[in-house]
Amino acid sequence: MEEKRLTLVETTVTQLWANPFWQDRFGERGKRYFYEDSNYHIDTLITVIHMDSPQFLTQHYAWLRGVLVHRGMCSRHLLQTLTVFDEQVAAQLPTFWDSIRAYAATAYDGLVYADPACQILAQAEERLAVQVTQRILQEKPAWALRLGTRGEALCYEDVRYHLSFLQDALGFQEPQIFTDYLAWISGFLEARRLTPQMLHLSLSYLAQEIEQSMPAGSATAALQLLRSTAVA
Amino acid sequence: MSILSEHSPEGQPVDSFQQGYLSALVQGSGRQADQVVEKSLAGGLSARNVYMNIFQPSAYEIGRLWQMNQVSVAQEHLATAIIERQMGDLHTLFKPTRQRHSTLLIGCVDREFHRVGARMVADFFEQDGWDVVFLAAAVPTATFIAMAREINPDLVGLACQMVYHLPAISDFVRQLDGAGLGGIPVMAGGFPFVDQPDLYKSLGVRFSGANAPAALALANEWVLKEKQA
Repeated sequence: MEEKRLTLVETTVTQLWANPFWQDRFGERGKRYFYEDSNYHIDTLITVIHMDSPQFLTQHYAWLRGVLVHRGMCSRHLLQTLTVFDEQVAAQLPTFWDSIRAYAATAYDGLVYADPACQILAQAEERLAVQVTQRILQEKPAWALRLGTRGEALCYEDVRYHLSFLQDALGFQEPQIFTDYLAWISGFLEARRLTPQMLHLSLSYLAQEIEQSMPAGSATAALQLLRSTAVA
Repeated sequence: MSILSEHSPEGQPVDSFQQGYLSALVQGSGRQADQVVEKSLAGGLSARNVYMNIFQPSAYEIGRLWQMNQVSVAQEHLATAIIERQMGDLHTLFKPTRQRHSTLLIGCVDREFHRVGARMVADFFEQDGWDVVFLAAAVPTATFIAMAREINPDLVGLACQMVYHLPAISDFVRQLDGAGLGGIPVMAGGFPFVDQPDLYKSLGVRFSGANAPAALALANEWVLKEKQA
């Protein structure tokens, strides 16, 4: 892994930076930190393998999420970073990957919130995103026509991000994490001359789907937060 | 008075000093922090108690506030500088109470810059009568070992806060052994050892302590045993 360090870091950063979120939110300074964090990831991974102490990777990611969520990222971004990195290791070091994948998997454990409401939301995330996307495209056929399949995928991805920021706000019990995100995403859409209507609609449908499909007690905090935001 | 007492001899909760101190650190006010320390000492807290119940929890909390983006890196560094300056001020209160005729060589492993914990350990040992050589942050392994050769300590202390610096500990033990100094016992400390008390076993060190008093108690037990053997 040491031999492949530079390539692993470079390909991970390049692949993730294809998403305009990263450049728009963090710019070149963020990119520099991204390189740094990727190297720390490799250092930590090598250490837990060396020590046979996978719990350190779990602890490191629980800690790192606290750092990054309070600086504009969400758990989904961190999850994507790990996934892309793991794919790179699997592709470039296939034999090695088989022997370390169990260690690498423990990083994801650090991204699970202790709050049961967050866990239920995490389990329902994919289904909720599909339902919200389908509703939007059914009720706005003109958008569906204009956006095509790529638009559908982007709409789905956006809903996943809304849900991720929502869980982070609930997990840390800091509504501001979600409201800050909404302020940023509104500006992001505006700068690209995209209608904010889709954002409003997706948050509104998200609240409805959560209310209809999740146990009442578990959904309360998420609904309160969604409805307290002006756009929802 | 126990080092973990919750009240000063005059009855003021230690928590209130700690909160006042933390507030001073967040505001970056060394003067205000001085006043809290002066008040706590005047209220009967020992310097050891100030270390363990005011400095240490405040330093941890500053780290947590940085994690939550509520204080900047600059504020965090300022808080550390204030704590270190006051540790220097309180150093006179760590006068040895006895003479142990044992030497501790202590510092942070290579690339590890979090040095406050190691300095606390150093002061506790000094007060207990150890001769202490404190090397502070990020000591390159080769020079650390050269110093061990020069002063022939009874114990080496290694501080490591970041998980990814742990291999530097086993590397140190290997190099110490390779230099023919493998007979010098090594202890380790830092966050990873608090999280996993048995970790020291897999790193080739003799023991680890969760904090300064624990490290001191274990060291005295160990060195006494060694000297009697």
